[in-house]
Amino acid sequence: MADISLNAGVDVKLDASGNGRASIGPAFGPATWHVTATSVRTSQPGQGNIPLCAIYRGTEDSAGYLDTTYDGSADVCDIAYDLTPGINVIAVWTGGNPGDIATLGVTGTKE
Amino acid sequence: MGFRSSILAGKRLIREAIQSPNFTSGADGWEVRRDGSAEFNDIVIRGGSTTQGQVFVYNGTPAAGNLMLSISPTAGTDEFGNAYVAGEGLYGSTGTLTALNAAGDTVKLRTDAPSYVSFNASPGLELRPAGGTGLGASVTAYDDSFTRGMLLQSPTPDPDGQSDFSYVQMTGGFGGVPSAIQLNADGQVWAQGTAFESDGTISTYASSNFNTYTPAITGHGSATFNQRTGYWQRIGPMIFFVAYLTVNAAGSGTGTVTITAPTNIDRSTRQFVPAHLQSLTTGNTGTGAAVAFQSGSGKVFDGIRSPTNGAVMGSDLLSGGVIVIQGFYRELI
Repeated sequence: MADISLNAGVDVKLDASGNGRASIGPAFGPATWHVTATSVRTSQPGQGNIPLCAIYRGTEDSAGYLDTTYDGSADVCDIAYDLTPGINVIAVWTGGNPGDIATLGVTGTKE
Repeated sequence: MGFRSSILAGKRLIREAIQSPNFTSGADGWEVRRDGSAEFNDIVIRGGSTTQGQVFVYNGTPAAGNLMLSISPTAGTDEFGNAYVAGEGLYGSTGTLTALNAAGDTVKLRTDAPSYVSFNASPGLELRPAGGTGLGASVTAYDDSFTRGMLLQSPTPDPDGQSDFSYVQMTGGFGGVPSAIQLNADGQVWAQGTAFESDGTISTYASSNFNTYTPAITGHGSATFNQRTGYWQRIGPMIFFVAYLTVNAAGSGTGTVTITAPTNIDRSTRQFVPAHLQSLTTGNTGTGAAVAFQSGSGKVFDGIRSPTNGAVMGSDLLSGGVIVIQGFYRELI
């Protein structure tokens, strides 16, 4: 099957503490997402409280840990990984502006 | 590779701090922190700068005992244990504030200003013209073993190269060391050995000699004098004097004997000075007076009056006679 361009995203509203969590991945199999870039941003990049953002693959622990950015309001991670149904990429924002909309995005290909 | 993980988000520093590779707090490099604090090894500020809060300057690496300068709205203790004052403070062996002009003249506010009286440096102000040698002129507070006070002294040597110096001393106690001028806390003024009390009296006179003069005599006829001597001292507007005459050859004539004072006599009223007359003609021996009339002028006492208020004449001056005139008169200013 030819690879199809992947470009997907999901939003979350940061809570009263400026924290939020979002995840995305293929909803059903046997689709496989070949992620080549993972983006994180907020609705006020570079403004106010700049959140940390950590991303994980599959599980939100050391086994699934991918990377962390000090600028969760606007950054891109170029680690490549695959997602299959049931295995999502997870983004966790902390210390941002309460009420901001945080967005997790993935690009690459899917089959 | 991962996130770009910039140190900035927009223009905001999102890391705890940025620092030079060799940064060691208190020693090397620099660091700027997200909380607004910073540490630099050397800095040049062009234009102006505004500082809020406190400023501390140390002699070397900040540590206990090497605080040089502090500016603080309140007193306190720095993180190294150095106490500082409210306002501006200078500390330690560098505790000197100096004003210096292009000519090299200096004014120093220092904790160890020259203080000759106690031979110990004391807190005060030192003033020194360019090229001055020896001690500068100073205003100091001192506390030695016998007295405490404030000393105002001229430089030594003075600008003419003289080694002597003068001083005005204001003391809290009376140490027995004479000053050029000494102002005591009880209001006494001590000048060259003379003490002027706060109630206007003079309690101690300097041992300096009286001024001398030779009284001029008229109306004495043929009289000559073994002694014709005068002593005087000015005290404010008053003159205290002694005129002493001893007759050698007897006098003659009916002219009124006059005698001069050392200075001009105020004639706004008649004045007299007591006189002791001895071995003159009968009726002219005893206590009399030298009288200065309002109509008179200059230094002249217009007559010497006998105990019966008669005028002593030239013929009354017998050989061996003695006239002593002693007392105060008002000087013509």
